[in-house]
Amino acid sequence: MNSNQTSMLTDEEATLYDRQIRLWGADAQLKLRQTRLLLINVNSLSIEVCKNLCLAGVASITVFDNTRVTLDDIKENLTLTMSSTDINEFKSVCTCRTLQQLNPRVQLIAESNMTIDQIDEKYIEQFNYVCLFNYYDFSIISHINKLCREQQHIDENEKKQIYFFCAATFGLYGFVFKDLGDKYDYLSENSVGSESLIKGEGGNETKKSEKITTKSTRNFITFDKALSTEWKPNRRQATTRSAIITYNLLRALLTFYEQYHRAPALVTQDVDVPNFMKIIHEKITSSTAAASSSNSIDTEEFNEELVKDILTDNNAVASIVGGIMSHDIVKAISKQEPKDNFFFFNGLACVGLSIPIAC
Amino acid sequence: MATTFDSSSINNNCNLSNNTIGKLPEESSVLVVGAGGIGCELLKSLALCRFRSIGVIDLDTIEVSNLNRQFLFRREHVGQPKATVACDSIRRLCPSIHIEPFHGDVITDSRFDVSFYKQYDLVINALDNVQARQHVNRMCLLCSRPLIDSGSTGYNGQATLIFKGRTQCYDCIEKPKQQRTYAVCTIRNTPSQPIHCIVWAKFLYNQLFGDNEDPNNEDVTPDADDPENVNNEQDNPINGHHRVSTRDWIHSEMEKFDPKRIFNKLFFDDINYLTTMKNLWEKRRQPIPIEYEKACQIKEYHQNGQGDHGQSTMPKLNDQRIQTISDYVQMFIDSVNELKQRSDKQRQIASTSKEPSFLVWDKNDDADLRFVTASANLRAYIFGINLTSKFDVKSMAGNIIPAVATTNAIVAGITVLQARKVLSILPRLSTDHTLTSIKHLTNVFVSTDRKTGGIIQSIPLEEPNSSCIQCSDLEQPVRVRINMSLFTLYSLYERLIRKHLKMNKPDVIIADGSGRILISADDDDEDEQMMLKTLDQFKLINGTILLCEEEYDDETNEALLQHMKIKLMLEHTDTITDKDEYIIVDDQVIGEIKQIKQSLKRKLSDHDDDDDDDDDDHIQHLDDYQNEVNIVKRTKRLSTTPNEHNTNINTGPIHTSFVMLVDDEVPVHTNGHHEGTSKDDFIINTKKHKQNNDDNFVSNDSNSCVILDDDDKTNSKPVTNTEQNANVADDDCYCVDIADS
Repeated sequence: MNSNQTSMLTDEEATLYDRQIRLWGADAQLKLRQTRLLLINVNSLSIEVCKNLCLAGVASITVFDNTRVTLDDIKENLTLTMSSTDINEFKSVCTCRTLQQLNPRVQLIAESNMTIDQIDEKYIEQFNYVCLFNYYDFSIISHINKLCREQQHIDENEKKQIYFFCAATFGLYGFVFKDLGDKYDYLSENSVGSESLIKGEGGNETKKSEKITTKSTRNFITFDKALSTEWKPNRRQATTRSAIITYNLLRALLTFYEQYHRAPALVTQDVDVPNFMKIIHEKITSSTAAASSSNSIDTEEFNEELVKDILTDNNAVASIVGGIMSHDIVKAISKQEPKDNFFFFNGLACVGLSIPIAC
Repeated sequence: MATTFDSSSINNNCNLSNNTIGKLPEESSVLVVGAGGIGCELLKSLALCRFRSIGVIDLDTIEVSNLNRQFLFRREHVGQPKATVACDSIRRLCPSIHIEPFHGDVITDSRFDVSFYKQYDLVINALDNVQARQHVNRMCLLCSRPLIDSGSTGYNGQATLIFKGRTQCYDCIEKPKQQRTYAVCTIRNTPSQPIHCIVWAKFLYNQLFGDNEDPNNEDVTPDADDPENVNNEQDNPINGHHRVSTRDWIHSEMEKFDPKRIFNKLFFDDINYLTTMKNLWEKRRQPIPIEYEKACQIKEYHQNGQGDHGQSTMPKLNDQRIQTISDYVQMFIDSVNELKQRSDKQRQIASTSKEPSFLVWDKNDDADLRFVTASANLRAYIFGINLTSKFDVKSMAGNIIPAVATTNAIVAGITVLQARKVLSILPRLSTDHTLTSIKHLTNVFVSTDRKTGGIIQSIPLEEPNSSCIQCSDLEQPVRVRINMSLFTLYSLYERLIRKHLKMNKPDVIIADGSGRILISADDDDEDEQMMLKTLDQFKLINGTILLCEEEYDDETNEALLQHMKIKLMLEHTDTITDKDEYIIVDDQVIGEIKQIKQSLKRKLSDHDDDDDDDDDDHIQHLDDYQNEVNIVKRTKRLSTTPNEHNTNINTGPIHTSFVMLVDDEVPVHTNGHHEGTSKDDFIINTKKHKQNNDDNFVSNDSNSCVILDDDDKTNSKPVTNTEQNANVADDDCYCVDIADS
C-alpha cells in the first residue's frame, strides 16, 4: 500500500470517511487530502468552517489570528474552541488545539505572530485556499483577493491557483463570496433520467441513470469588481428580497469601516449603533429607490434592537453559513460545478440564496 | 485584528422579533431525540445559543464511520453510548448547562412515557428512520408538545414544524415506501441485476443464521411455481414433488455443518434444478452451475460487461476492487465458518438470557458484509451478471444514506433558529402550551448542491390533514398498557376489542402507514396458532396504533351503512406479568362510551365513577391517570382534579384520548344532533371541530355529542368545514417571507 500512498486511500481512511466518500467519491477525498487552507480571523464562522474541513480530511489548515482570548470572549460561552481556561491565550492556538482532536490526520497550524498586512505573495503561495472572515476593510479584502489572483498568473503553467473566499455572519444574517479565478474549469455532470445518484435506498440499480460529463468553464471576478457597482436584481423582487437585506447590511458594514476605520462593535455600541443605523437606512433607501419598487422594504424594521442583534455572533447562523461555505470549498476542491459568486443568508426569513453579482 | 465581530458579546438576546412574552432559550427545556449526525451539531448550537436545559435520547453506540461528522465523538469513544458521550462533550464545552443523557430506544423504552415528554417545552427529532420519527410524532401529539423534525440525506435536508392541530403532523402525508421490493420469482429464479443477487444473499443469511420464526423471512430455494414456468409443469418430472426448502435442508445439515456442502447445494444443485425449468431460459441466458472444486480454480478477473460505472477510473479504495471468483469462494467459506461459530455462541447465550437466539444482519459487521458480498457475486457470476465490489454491496445491501458534516451543520443551525422562533410563541409565564400566532413560522428545506437560487428555502406551514389517523383531533386513541411479549392476539381480540370495547367483529389494521391487517373481519376461522402468538411476534411495538374498524348493517334500513372506528394505542410495559392483563389508561372514557351506547338520549351523569358491570377482572384502574382525564362535555367538565404525580413545571392535565366515530354519511347537523341512527349504535360527532379559545363557549345542544378534549383551556365545538376554514384563514394567514410582513 505504501507505494500507492498518493493514489489510493488506506482502508482506515476508507472506513473513517465512508459516508462522505459515498457522497462525493473517492477522487474528491484524495484531492481533499492534498489541500492546504488559510483561514484568517477566529470567530464562530471560521471555527465552523475549520471544524467542517478538519472533519472532511484536508491536508492542512492554518488559523491566522494574533489576538488573545479576553474575558468578554468567553463570558457568554459562545464558541466551540475557547473556554475560561484560555484567557490570554492566542485564539488561533486554542482553536487549533481543540479542533485537532477531531481529526489527527489533518495538520492544524496556528499563526499568531503575523498581522494581516504582513501577508504577501511569498506567504500566500503555500496555500490553495485563502478565506477571510468578518473583515470589513475594503482595501485589505481587495488586497488579499489580488494577491490570490496574481498567483494564478505567476503559476499559470503549473496551473496553480489560489481560490479566495470572503465571508461573514452578523446577527441573523450572513454572506459568502468566492473568487475562483478568471477561468475556473469544472466537470459538469448532467444525469440523463432520474436524479437517483445519491439515493441511498434500494434505488441503486445497475442501470444507473447515465451521466454525461462535460467540461465547462466559468469566469469569476474579484470582490472589488463585484461590489464596484450597485447590485440591481433583475429577477422578481420577491425571490431576492431576503438577500437584498443581507446585501445592504454588508455594504453598510463596509461603509461604516470606511468612515470610522473600524467595524461597529457591541463594546462601543452607544456610539456605533446610531451611526450604523443611519448608514443602514441610507443603504436601504438608495437600494429601494434604485430597484424602483414600491416601499416593500420597511426601513423601520431596523430598529435599535435589531441593529444591536446584528453586532452579535450567533452560532446557529455561523453553523449554517459555515456549512454552505465548507461545502463550496469541497466542491471547488473536487472541481465540481460551482455555485454563484455570492451566497446570502437571512435568518429572520430563514432563506439562503446563491446569487450571481456582476458575474 | 480589532476589527472582528467575534464573541465579545454583551447582548444575549438575539431578538427574533419584538416578541417579549415568549420563552427564552435560557428558561426552556428541550428534548433532542437522536445524537447522531444532526444531533451532534444540534447540541453544539443549542449550547452555544444559550439553551440551558436539554435531554438527549439515543440508542446507538459510536462507530468509526461516525467520526467524519459526529464531532462530539473521538476515536477513543468508539463502542460507547452516543447519548452519554455527547452530553459529556457538551458539558466540557459549556459547564453550566444542564444536559441529561438517556441511552435507550425511544420507541420501546418505558422510561419515555407521556410524563417524560411533558417535562420539555419543545421536542426536536434528529433521527434517521421513519419508525422512530412516527413514534415521537405520536407522543408529541399526545401531550401537545411542539415538535421540530429535522433530517438530512446527502446534500439535502429539512426542518419541519409540527404543532398539534395547527400544522401537518409527520403522518399527515403518506411517506413514500422506504425500500424497493422485488418480485419473489426474480430473486429466487431469474435474477438479472446485481441488486437481485444481493437481496437473495441477504435472504440466504437469514435462512442460515437469522430468525426462523420471522414470517417475512423469504425462502431462497428455486421456486417451481414461477408463473413463467407454468406451461412446463407437465413435461417436468421434478415438479411433481416438493423440493426441500433451503431452511429445512439447513436444519437437517446443522449437525455436520459443512460450508463446502452448502456451497454445492446453493451454487450447483439448486442451479441445476433451475435449469430444468426450461421455459425460464427461452429468452434468458441460462445460469451455469459451478461446483466448489471448480470454482476454486477460477482465478482470472471476471470481466464486467459494458456500461458498468467505475471502469474508466481506477478504484481508489481496496473495497472498490472487484475480486476473482476464487477469492469470493474463499470469502464465502471463511465467512460461513465465522458466522456459524457466532451463531452457535448466540444460541448458547440465548438459552440463559433474554437475548435472541439468532443473528441479525448488520452492514457494519465485516463477516456479515463479506458473506453477502461473496454469495451475491457467486450468484451473479452464475447468472452472467456484473459483479459488485464490497464497497458498493455495502451501499446497496445496507441502505446506506450518505452523510456529511456540512449538510448536518446547516440543518442543525436552521433547527436552532426554528427552535428559538417556536419558543418565542410559547407563553412565557404560563404552564399551558397553547401557541400564540404561528404565522411567522415556516418549514425549511435545504439543498446545498443547488448551483443557483434557493439553497435554503422557507415554505409556509401546511394545515393538518383532517383525515390523518394520527393527528385529526377527534380521533385520539384509547391507550392500553400491556406487556407485548405476553399479551396474545387472542386476548387482544376477544378480551380487549370484543368484550371490553364491545365491538363485534372488526377489522384490525396496523396504522403505521403499512396498512397491514392484523385481523380481518372476513376471516371466518381464525388460525388458532396465529391467535396464540404474542403481539411482539407481529412486530408491534410500543406506541403502535391499531385501527379497529367495523361496519354495521342496519337491517331495517339498508341505506344506513355505518362505520365504527376505535383507535387503540398499545403501550408496552414490563411491569405487567400476567399474560392476559391489560390496563386501559383512559378507562373512564370507555365507561362514558358505554353509557352513551346504552342510551343515546339519556343525559350523561355528572359523576364519572359509574360502576360498570362489564368491568373485566383483569382491568386495573390507574388512579394517576384518572386524574389526568379531562373531559369536556359541552360546558361541563368532569374530574379535573389537580395533577399531582406530575410535579414539574408542566402541570397541565394529561388528556384523554378516545374517540369513536361514525362515517360522514350519517346525517349530522352542525348543532350536534343526529338523526336516523339505530338505537344500538353510539355516535359521536366527528365532524371537524376547531379549538375555540373562548372558555365560556356554551352549546345549546344537549345530548348527542361528547367531545373529549385535550386542552384545559380549550373547549371544543363541532363546526362545519367551511366554518373551520374561515376561522383558520382568519387566525393564521401564512406568508413565506417574514421580512415582508
